[in-house]
Amino acid sequence: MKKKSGLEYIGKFGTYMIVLFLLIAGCLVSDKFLSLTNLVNILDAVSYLGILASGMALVTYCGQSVDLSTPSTIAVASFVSILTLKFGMFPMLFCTLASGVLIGALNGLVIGKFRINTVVWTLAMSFVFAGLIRVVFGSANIYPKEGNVELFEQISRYRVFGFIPLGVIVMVLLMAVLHIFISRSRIGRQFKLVGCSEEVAKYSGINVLKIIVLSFVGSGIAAAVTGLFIASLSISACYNYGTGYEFRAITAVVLSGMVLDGGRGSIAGVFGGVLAIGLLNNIMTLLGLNSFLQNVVTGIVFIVIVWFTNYTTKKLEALNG
Amino acid sequence: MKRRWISIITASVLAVSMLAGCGGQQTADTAENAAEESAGEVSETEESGEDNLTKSKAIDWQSATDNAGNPLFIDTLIPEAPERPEDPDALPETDELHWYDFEYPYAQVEKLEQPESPADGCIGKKIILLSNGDHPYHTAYVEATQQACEIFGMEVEVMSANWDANIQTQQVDQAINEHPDLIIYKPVDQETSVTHLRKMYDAGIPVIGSNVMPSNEGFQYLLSFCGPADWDQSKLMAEYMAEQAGYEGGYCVITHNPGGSAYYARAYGVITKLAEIAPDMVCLDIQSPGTDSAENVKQVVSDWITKYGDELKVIFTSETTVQATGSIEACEAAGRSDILIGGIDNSEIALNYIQEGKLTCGTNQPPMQDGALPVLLAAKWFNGEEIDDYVFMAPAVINADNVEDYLPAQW
Repeated sequence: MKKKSGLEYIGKFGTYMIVLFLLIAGCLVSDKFLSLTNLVNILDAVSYLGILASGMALVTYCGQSVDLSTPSTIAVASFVSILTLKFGMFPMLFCTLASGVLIGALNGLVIGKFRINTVVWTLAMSFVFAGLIRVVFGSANIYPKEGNVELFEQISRYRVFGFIPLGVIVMVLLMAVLHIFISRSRIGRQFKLVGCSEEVAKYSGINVLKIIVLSFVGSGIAAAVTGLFIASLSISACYNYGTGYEFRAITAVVLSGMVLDGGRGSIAGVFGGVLAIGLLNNIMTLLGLNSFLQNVVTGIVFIVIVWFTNYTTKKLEALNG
Repeated sequence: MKRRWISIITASVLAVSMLAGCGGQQTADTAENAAEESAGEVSETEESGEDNLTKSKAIDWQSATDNAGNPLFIDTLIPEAPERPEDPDALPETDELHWYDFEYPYAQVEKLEQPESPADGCIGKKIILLSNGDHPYHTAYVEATQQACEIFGMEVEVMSANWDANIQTQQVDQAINEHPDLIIYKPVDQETSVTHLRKMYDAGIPVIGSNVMPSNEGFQYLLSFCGPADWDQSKLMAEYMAEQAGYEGGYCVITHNPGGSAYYARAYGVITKLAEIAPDMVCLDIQSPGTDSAENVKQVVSDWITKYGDELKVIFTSETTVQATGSIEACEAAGRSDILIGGIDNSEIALNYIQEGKLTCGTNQPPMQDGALPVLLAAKWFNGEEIDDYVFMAPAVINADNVEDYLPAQW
């Protein structure tokens, strides 16, 4: 019984144990590690990743594996934000978020209705949108020329109380809302049931298609917000602005203890996963490890955590009979 | 049945999207039109008894300008390689001769016999540009290649490999089958470039390498190579930044993507030059956070500021869009406006930052002139003129004093 509760504890809070371990390691590595500036920098560095990962986690949580269309959604959103800035900030925000909603809804409808493999479909969509952007814009950068460019730039640069980046506030708020939504609301429980077993959910009267569409819409919105921040930071849009983000987001989701089959994990865990990535990168740079060695260490840590998650899950299943 | 149809539709979407996103192939309409016109002009010329060669040589390319009104064909330099040390690896990394084989990869190459120039004029000739991939820089490059071909009355077909060596391999075969008069080749990676160049050489098609260097062995198959003087521009930037920093203080370097010639040139050009002219400047760290995410670069630079504090005086970036943005944002967030940041190339972002005083300098690596240069060499070769084996664009530093000369930006 004790062993079971111990494993359950690890399954639930394992990510934060890693975070704690990294915090201790960071203190040993550098006396500047615990400075407020450094800690804010760490959060700032992973804020866009955190926003994206929280949306991706919805897809994973309801058993749809991963959303590989996010790089293109980021790119599309960055273009939409710059092209619509001339109409004003609110229309720009509306259009940017709408682009994420539309791509997410399309993904969710096709996958939920026709049961197409998620990886294949979202990858195909990623190619479609990346290709379309290049057909239309010829792979050139576009820059904001009209509208309130200064305000647009501030989206990624504004610091609340002059200290906390807006991206960090958005990430924390988004994760808090999604965590409550997933763990406390009726629809959140339906996400879990669909993630555990679509058949059971279907026979329980749950509208499975609606839940799947909602999860992808959530992922699309998160990717669009990420695209908006990236466009603001770069003061431009380019077809490759989302490149690589999807795999970092998947890493954060997996580090959180969320199982790719769905139904397990939490958004709070994803926050832990994102923090772990930020802390690990910070410590390795403070240690002076070069980028190639950092990749090796990140890969090893990733493998160990995935193995450990699988191990505890199997043990728990065995103990539960 | 429904599922089967959906599967077919999905597969089709995937296939179509891959074709759209990857391996884009464009034909330059304007160049084709120009070529048709030129062909028409050629026959008219023959009718009037004039020679195509004479008409080709009479083309006024010197007055051609880019979108900013600057000359499309700029000053070039012909490199002179020093004597190779017996064992470059035995020298320290801060010695420029340690990087001899990287800086002068062509110096030890014995070129194979090249095809004879037809010497019958450039007008009406067909060129295929095998481009490495899509990028704002290369968009401007291709635009200039097409513009230059139009000027010389040549037809150009562009094939972009979308950074995929396998796609480029297929495009090499396709290009050979089309029997163009010349190929301009920008390799996706150095590993596969030898095979590609050997195939084109065996097919008897003259090839001009451009922009990115092939592997050392690949140079033997080239009629000529032209492109940015990567080592020279990074050394030039190092000289300027050292002067601005008072020849002292710690510096950090953000490299280009590993695998290409720019990775070594843009990092070790700086490091070796500073070791030579500013021995009091200490290299604190070198990192490769990539060229895709300003957020990643920002994190690395923030960590440097935490670790090195006031010791960090200068940051060198290997490009000026993502890397310069990430560096500037990290410094601003930390209230370290005293850190000098210098980057290689001249994107619109860079020029804006230089005007705002956020970027100390950039370098003049104009994509349009880069794209026009191989066409000029090709035209000269078709006209029977001698062309140099290696031709580089003369580099320059862009700073607050001269940035106006480089506006508007090309990309």
